[in-house]
Amino acid sequence: MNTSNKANAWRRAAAAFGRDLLGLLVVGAVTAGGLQFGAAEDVTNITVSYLFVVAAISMYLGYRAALVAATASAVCIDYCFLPPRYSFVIANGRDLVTMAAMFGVAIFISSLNNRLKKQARAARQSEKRTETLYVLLRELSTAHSVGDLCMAAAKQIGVASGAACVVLLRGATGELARAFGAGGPVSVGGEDTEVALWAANRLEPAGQGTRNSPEAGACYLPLVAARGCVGVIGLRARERGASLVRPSSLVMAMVAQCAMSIERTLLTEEKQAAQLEAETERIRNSVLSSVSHDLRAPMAVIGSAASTLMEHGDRLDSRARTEMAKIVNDEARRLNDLLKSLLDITRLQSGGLQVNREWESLEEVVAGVLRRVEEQAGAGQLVADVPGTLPLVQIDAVLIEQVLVNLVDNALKYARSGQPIEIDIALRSSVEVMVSVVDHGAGIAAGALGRIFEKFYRNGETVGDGLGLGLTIAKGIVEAHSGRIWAVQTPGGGLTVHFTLPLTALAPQISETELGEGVQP
Amino acid sequence: MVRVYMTALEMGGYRVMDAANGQQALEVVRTRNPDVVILDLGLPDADGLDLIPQIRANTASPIIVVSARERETEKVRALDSGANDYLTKPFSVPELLARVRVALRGQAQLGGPSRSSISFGDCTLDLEARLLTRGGHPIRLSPTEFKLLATLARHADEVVTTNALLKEAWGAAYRAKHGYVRVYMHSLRRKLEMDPTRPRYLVNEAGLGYRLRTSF
Repeated sequence: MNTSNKANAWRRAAAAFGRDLLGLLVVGAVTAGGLQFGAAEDVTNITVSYLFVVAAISMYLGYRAALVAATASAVCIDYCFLPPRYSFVIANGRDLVTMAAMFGVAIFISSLNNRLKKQARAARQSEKRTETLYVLLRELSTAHSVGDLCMAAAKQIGVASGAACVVLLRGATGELARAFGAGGPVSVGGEDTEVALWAANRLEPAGQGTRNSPEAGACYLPLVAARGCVGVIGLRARERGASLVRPSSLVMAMVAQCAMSIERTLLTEEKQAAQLEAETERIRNSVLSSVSHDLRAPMAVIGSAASTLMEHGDRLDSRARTEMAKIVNDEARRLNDLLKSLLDITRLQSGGLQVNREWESLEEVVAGVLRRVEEQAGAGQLVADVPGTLPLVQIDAVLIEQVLVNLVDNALKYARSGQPIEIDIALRSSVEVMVSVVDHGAGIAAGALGRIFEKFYRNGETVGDGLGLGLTIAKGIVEAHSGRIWAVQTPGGGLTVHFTLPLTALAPQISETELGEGVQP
Repeated sequence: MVRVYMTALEMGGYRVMDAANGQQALEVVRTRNPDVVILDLGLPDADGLDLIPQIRANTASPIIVVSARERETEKVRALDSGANDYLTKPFSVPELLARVRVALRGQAQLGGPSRSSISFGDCTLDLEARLLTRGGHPIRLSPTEFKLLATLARHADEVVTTNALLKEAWGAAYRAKHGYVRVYMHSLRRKLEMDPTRPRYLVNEAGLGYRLRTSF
């Protein structure tokens, strides 16, 4: 859309006049030449020359100049070359026909040329328009989000229209909530929101260059898609004080294309959100049912054992009574562990895990783990190899002990009896210490090594209890300490889980002399 | 739950008084002068931690706090503000009775002459003579090591927080330098334990402190 300007119109008129003059000059030159070289003898020759010149003028100076030149040529021929010379009278009828023919042919060639030029121009314009639309389509199709889409649209329409372009998107409430310029998101607002909203609601262009509110500061074109208006394109003249004219059909076509693309992208986003929601719901339901089953099982056992004690307690011998009580105790403990796992994973996920770091000795943490495992599973199940010279690490001892307990519990579930589980600690580098829990049990298939840390993942065989959260919790804790955890196959069969803990700041050191300072008083 | 534990304690030969909230608890402490106080940190009306100094003001009897798992910071604060030991819910009846026994033994010593020597494993620590022997042979301890071991011994079988150990050995200015304690405990374990990586006597309780176990 070009800005209308009086100065431009004058300039164009002057240029046309200039071309006419040039044409006349050329005709004059031909006339002079003809007179010089005695063309009066053979009028046909000079006529052809004039014809050629008019044709050339129509090619290079345009139709109007050609018409002027043709007329001038006819006049010159009549005046200068046709007998009687130097008068406008034409004595010979044949000459009149020749002149008329020349004039006719001149006009014909000129108009042909003109038509040719017009067609070429139209073809170029059409090609340019197609190319602009193509570029727009390409930009729109590579956009990944509605935001990118709008920015691409603003850029392309801005280029095509020569104005500053902004895309305003309609929100859920019908308000124009978001806006994007070619460079990025812009703020919605300003004096024209009403006009823009009007355009959006009435599905009609409004603002400058239209018949609705033409006094507004910009032009607003509604983006009309299949299910209504998705937003508005705003165009503002780049030069201060300039005013836009009606948007070209190219711009309107681009606006229509943008509307469709925006709607499509919005629909895709909605569809993805709905799919995600459905998937989340599905997972939530399956988890709920699995978890409630796992929790109900121990409850059922406790209930039966307790009611047995109540109703038949006096008839049971003391050994049987003790056994019932032990069952209740064990199942209660199992239930407690399950609930604790659930609580831990919830805390981890919601970011509520508090990591209280202190300088701790991994030797002590491992000792704690050994104690706990011995209490629950008996001696001999676990061996540890802890170097005596390990530096202190800044960790939450309770949480890291939990990690080791979870890893060992997991190993115990799948280990073969006879081969104890090993805990190894080694310095991986000056900034990292690595702890490994090695079992020689059945192991995990190589493909599943990454998946064992997923929530609720249980190895194919449902061995024993547990919700499948132990390794997930361990991973969460290790990562909260800025460490890494991964699993590999133990050479010879079994599963090995490694995790690292960073050695960050300097651990407190006490010199040997300080340690062994002085004899006892 | 209270009923279960009361029954267990009574079976163990103790007379039990219970209180439903902080107010009642203070009343009972003032009027009935119990030998041991078992305090659940999750009381309805009062913050259990606030109650400890108040109980301490009224009696020198040992206080055992009961807390949920993984509330170590809470336990540490309780221990530092006057409690003697802790139990983690859910705990078993044997654990409860063991803790009460230890608390009473410590109490008994306060009344009479303090224990002058503590034995654990094949080690004997003579607090008066400041001498540690293992299998009859004297073991060299640095002054700091001795202070730490003596503190643990004076509270034998009770947990001592890392902060309390720091205070004893280095003074109040060294609060929160837990690393120091770790290093010295490591050294002590090497001198006193059969297997330093599986200590039987000098036991670390993650997030809390240390305990010298003399009875099992």
